[in-house]
Amino acid sequence: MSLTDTKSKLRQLKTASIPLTQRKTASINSAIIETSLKRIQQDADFRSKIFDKIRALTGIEDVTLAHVREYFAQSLRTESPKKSGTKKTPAAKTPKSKKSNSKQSTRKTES
Amino acid sequence: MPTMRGTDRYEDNVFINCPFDTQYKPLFRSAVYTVYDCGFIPRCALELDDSSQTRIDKIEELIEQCKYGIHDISRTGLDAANRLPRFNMPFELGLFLGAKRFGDERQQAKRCVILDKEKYRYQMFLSDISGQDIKSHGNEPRQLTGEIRDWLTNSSGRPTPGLNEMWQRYGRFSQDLPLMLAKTKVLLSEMTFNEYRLLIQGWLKVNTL
Repeated sequence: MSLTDTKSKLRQLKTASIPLTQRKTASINSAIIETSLKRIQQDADFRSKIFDKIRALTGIEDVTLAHVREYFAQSLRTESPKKSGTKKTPAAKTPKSKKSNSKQSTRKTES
Repeated sequence: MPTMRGTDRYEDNVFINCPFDTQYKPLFRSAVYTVYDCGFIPRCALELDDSSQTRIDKIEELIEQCKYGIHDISRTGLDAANRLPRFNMPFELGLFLGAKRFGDERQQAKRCVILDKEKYRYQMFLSDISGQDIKSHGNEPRQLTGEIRDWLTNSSGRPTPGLNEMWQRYGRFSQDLPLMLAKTKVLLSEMTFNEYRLLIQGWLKVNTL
């Protein structure tokens, strides 16, 4: 087995050892980030607001998409205050919140 | 943003008692989104998957964990397939009101909103709740969003976004939803309630400015 094959196999094993819920959450978070980055590129108003927010938070003048991606990733790792209203707090590094491993009920028709 | 499951967040939990059929989905999705955007946690029977519990036990536990309740009795008519009335939603409303009436101090603090498609229609089939302020949504997601937003704001005393701002944001979320689902390789028709909650929760963290 070549070094590349071994690395690939190790990566597969590592992925397989992550619980399904965590993988699902990671997949959903990744989809949110990618979709929001796409919106950044298409929606000038949204882009301007996000860039301003990152400038205000970090002091970085020359904000790039890489900064935005990192800001989004941090936001998804952050637990906001309990009594949230219209204003959200800036992203800060906090431990990941626990996610449930619940699945959808089989009920189809009504409550 | 509250955590997704919210089993220990009584003050934030909102029990959604409504139909889950295809025709109701636009209303259901807007209701779930609105609860999140107002800063609360939507809870409903679709999140439960525990074969060790009976269905009624699960629903009772859910109601016990929720301070707030949204009860939509607009689909209490005859079922299209078997021509029998659908009692689950009025029944769960009764459980919620019973918990508020006979429960401990925490349960007595429960608040709920009852919704129908027309304001006074319920008097013909659920006259016991006459005198309560029933809201109507006219089968319109925006109207439903407004009713839920106003009720949550008034009953909790917490600040929430304005209806116009929230509705615009919901429009953007709805545009992004198919893209996000495509990236997670899940079809809209197979999206579970818990996946939908994760998407809303994450999307709002990133997109609320």
